[in-house]
Amino acid sequence: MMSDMSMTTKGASAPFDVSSDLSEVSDWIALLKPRVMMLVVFTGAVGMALAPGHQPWVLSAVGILCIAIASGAAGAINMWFDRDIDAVMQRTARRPVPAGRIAPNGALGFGVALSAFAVILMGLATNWVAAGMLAGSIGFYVFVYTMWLKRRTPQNIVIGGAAGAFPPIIGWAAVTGGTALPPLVLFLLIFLWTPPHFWSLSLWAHADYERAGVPMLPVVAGQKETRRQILIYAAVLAPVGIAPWALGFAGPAYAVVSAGLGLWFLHACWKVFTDRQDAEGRSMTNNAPARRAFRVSLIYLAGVFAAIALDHWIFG
Amino acid sequence: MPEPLYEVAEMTAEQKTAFYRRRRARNYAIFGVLILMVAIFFMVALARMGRH
Repeated sequence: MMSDMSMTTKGASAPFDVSSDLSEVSDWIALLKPRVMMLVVFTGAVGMALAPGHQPWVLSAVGILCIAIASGAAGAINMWFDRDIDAVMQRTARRPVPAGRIAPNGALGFGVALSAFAVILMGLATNWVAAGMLAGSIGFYVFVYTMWLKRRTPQNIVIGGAAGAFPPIIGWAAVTGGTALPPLVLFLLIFLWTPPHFWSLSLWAHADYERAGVPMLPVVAGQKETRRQILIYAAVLAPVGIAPWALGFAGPAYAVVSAGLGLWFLHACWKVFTDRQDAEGRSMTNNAPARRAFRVSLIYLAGVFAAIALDHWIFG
Repeated sequence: MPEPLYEVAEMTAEQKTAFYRRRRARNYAIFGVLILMVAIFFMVALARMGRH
C-alpha cells in the first residue's frame, strides 16, 4: 500500500493521540450538545418574549444566540470533564472526546473560549445583569453539577437541574435588566420537570450509570424508589404548570393546554410506577413505559412553553 | 541542533486525503464563524446606536 508522511505531536504514544486532527466539523458541533441547546434556546426565547418592554429584534436575536452558545460551551466543558465516564457508558462512548477524535484540552479550550465570548457578547448586546446570570448558569452547570454533584449524590440532577432552568430568567433579564415572578415560575416549572425526565431515562440506562459509577437514583435507591419519585415529581409539576394562569400572567387557554399536558405526563409517569416489574422494581416490559414517559416529558415542556408564548402573543 | 517539536506519522494516501479534507473543512468553519462574529458585532453596534 502506498504510504505518505504527516506530523503528529511529539511524545504521543500513537498518532493523533493528543491532537484534534481526526475531528470533523460535526464533532465540534456535537460537543455543543445541540439537542439540549434547542430546549434551552426555546425556553430562553419564551422568557424573553414574555418580558415587558421593547428592545430591537437584533439585540433579542443576539441575546438568544448568547444563551445558545453558553449552553453549548457548558456542554463542551462537561464532555471534557466527563470523558472518563463517557468512555465506559454505551450511550456516550461515541462522543468526540472519548472516541479520540477531539483532544480533551481542545474540548476544554473550546468550551472556555465560547463561555467567555457568550458572556461578553450578552453584556455588550443587552445588559450586564443578563450577562452575569449567563455566567452564573455556566458556572453552576460546570462546577456545581458536573464537577461536584454528578458523581456524589443521587440528587445530582435535582439540584443540577437548576442550571437548565435558568434560560427563562436570563431571557427576561436580557430585556428588562432584572427579574420578576413570571420567569421565576418558569424556572420552577423546568426545575420540577427535570427529575422525572432524567430518571425516566436512567431507568433504562441504569446499567450504563452503574458501570460508570454515577450514583443515579436507580443505581443507589433502586428502581422501585425511582418510579415512586418520578410519580411524585410529576404530581407536583402538573399544578405548577397551571400557576402562570393562577398568578395572572397567562390566560385560560394556556391553563387548559397546560392542564391537559400535565395530566398526560402524569398518566405516563403513573404507567412507569405501575409497570410490570420484578420484586426489585426491574421492568419486565423492557422499560416501555419509562421510554414513553421520557418522550412525553419532552413534548410536555415544549408544549407548555409554546402554549404560554402563543397565549401571550394572541391574547396579550 | 534542537530536538524537533514534531515527529512524523505514517499515513496512507487515503488517510492523507481525509486528513486534508477535515483540516480544510475546519478552516472554512473557523473562517465562517469569524465573518459571522464581525457581522454580529456590527449589527449590535448599529442596534445600540439606534436605541440611544
